Parts: sequence; structure tokens; C-alpha cells
Amino acid sequence: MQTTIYCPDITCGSCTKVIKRSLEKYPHVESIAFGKDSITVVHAQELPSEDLLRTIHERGFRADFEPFTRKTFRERFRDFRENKEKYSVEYSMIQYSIITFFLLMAIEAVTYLALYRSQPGFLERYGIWALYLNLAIVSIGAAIWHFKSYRGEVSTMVGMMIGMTFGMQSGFLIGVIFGATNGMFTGTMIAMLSATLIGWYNGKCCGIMGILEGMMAGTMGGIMGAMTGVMLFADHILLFMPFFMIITLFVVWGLSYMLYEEFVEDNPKVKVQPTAFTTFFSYCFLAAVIFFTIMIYGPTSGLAVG
Amino acid sequence: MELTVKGMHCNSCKIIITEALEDLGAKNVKVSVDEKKQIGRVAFENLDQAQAVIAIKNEGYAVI
Repeated sequence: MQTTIYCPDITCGSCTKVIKRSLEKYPHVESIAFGKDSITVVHAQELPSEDLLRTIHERGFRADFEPFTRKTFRERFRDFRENKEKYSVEYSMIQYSIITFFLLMAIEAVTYLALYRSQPGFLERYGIWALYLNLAIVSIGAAIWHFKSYRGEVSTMVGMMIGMTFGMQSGFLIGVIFGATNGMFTGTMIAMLSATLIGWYNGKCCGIMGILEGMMAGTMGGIMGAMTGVMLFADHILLFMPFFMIITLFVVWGLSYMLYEEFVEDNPKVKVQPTAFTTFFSYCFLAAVIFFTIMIYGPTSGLAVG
Repeated sequence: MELTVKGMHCNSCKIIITEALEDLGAKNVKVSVDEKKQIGRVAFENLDQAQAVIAIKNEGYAVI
């Protein structure tokens, strides 16, 4: 009789040694052979198959009786719709984002009516930028919340990707918005500083390489974003913004998708520890207060909105 | 007691060395690995250093 177990995390002779020694403890095991991503156990009598998987999991390896293949997007979406329990963190992320976005818009609407309605042209100047800034804050905040909901060892490659994506996309988003509303100096400073911090905070998961990648990307994204906002201000920026927002936010959401596939799914070592909605909202609200204060009262230069 | 071990590069190496020492009666075995340098630090109690070195070498690693 034989049982085949698929195990994609076997990277070296030490891995095969650990797994072999663990499986040899089972009675009636006659031989254990290792393929590229699989283990074939030949045994004289029936073996408790779920126990075999658990034994391998306890050693820190993913293991299953089905091959580990990357799902297509359609398969992933179907899996997402049919298995709400499996994707509970992701469903929470979506709910928190939607609620926070509309809460922020509502708070800002009330603030406008209370404090700024009498200022001529205020809504025309800042209205659309408030929408874009809220989208940026909530999207980046949700992506950070999603990543930090999972605790585990991140490989250097994945960690660098995390740092780079967070740094670059945060810099682009904040830079373009503040470049348009406040000009080159404020746009560059705000975007570069905040994106470098975001890149560092998320890139540190894998050590100095992730930190450097995150900070470099934050610096570059912040400066380039501000430049884009300033240069396009007199050249159809309002037409440019929807395309820019869709592409940039797609990358941010894509990062969460990648994290789930590369880091979370079938990883027995990952711990799930999401923070509460109140924490998520508080940070987004604080970010909104700081950014909007700078947008309205911060220095402006050139052709900016402010 | 602490030893520096060469040739360790992953979590499986940690498991192998931990179990090799625990099988000889070592207590409080703690192993850390620098995967890039492929060097590990192994701390343990209740086991003679010479025995520990032999056990680690038998597993295919070098003690520096």
C-alpha cells in the first residue's frame, strides 16, 4: 500500500531527514521516497492518514493529499465566496475599509459644513482631493492591517516585495495628491516622509533588506508622486487621477492577495491576530486629521490647488 | 554551554540538532540560525561538550 503526501516546502537534505525520521516512527512503514514536492510512503498496513499530515505540519511543513498548485484568479474568487471562514480576516478587511471610508467622508462632510462652508470655492478646490485622500488612507491602512493580522516568518524575497510595494505605492498616492494640492515642496516632504516610514514599518518583517527596500521605495515614490502631481496640475490632472488611482490601488490590493498566497495559505506556522475595528479606524482617522490639516493649512507653492 | 555550528541553513537543521542533543539528555536546548552565513548557535545544559560535539558531527555539521 502507498500514500502520497504533497509537501512543497522541502528545500534540502535536512528537510527530508526531519520528515523521514518523523514518518519512520509509524509502524508498518516500509519505505519513504521523496519527489520534487511529494512524499511517497509505502506501508504494509493501513496508516492513520490525518495523523501523517499532522506529524508533518508539526515539523513546520505544509502538507496535503492534494498537490499544492497556485489557484487561478477565478478559482481564488470562487474559493473566497464559498469559504467565508477561511477568509474571515479578508472579509473583515473589506468591511472595515468600507465602513471607515464612509465614516471619514461623513465626518469630513460635517466638518466642512461646520467650519468651511462660508469659504468661497473651498469645496471646489478640495472636494475631489478629499475623496482621493480618503481612498488612499483607507486602502493603505487596510493593506497594513491585513499584513499585520498574520504573524510568522517572512522570507527575504517576500519581505522585500512587501516593503517595496508599501513604500512605493504610499509615496505615489500621497505624493500625487499633495503635489496637486500644495505644490512640490510640501508634496515631496509629506509623501517622502510618510512613505519612507510606511515602507520601513512594513519592510522590517524580514530584516534590514526589507527595511532598505521599503525606505528606498518610499523616497522614490514620494518624490516621483509629487512631481507627477505638480507637472500634471496644468495638464488634465482630473482626467489622469481616476486611472492613476485605479492602477495604484489595484497594486495595493494585489499585495494583500499575494501575501495570502505566498505567506498565509496552508502555512501552519502563521498565527492569526487581527486587531479590532476601533484600532483600525483610529489610525485611519488620525492619518486623515494630520493629512487634511497639512493640506488645508500647510505651505503651498506653484500652481497648487490651495 | 554554547557551541557554534557551521552548515546550518534552515529550520530543519535546528530540529535535527535539537533532537540529537535532547536524545543524549541535554536540557534547555536553544538553537538560533543565521541562514545567510549558514552558522548556528547552540546553547544547552546537562550534557558534556565532547558528547555534544560528536552528536552534532554525526548529523553532518561542523563545530567551530
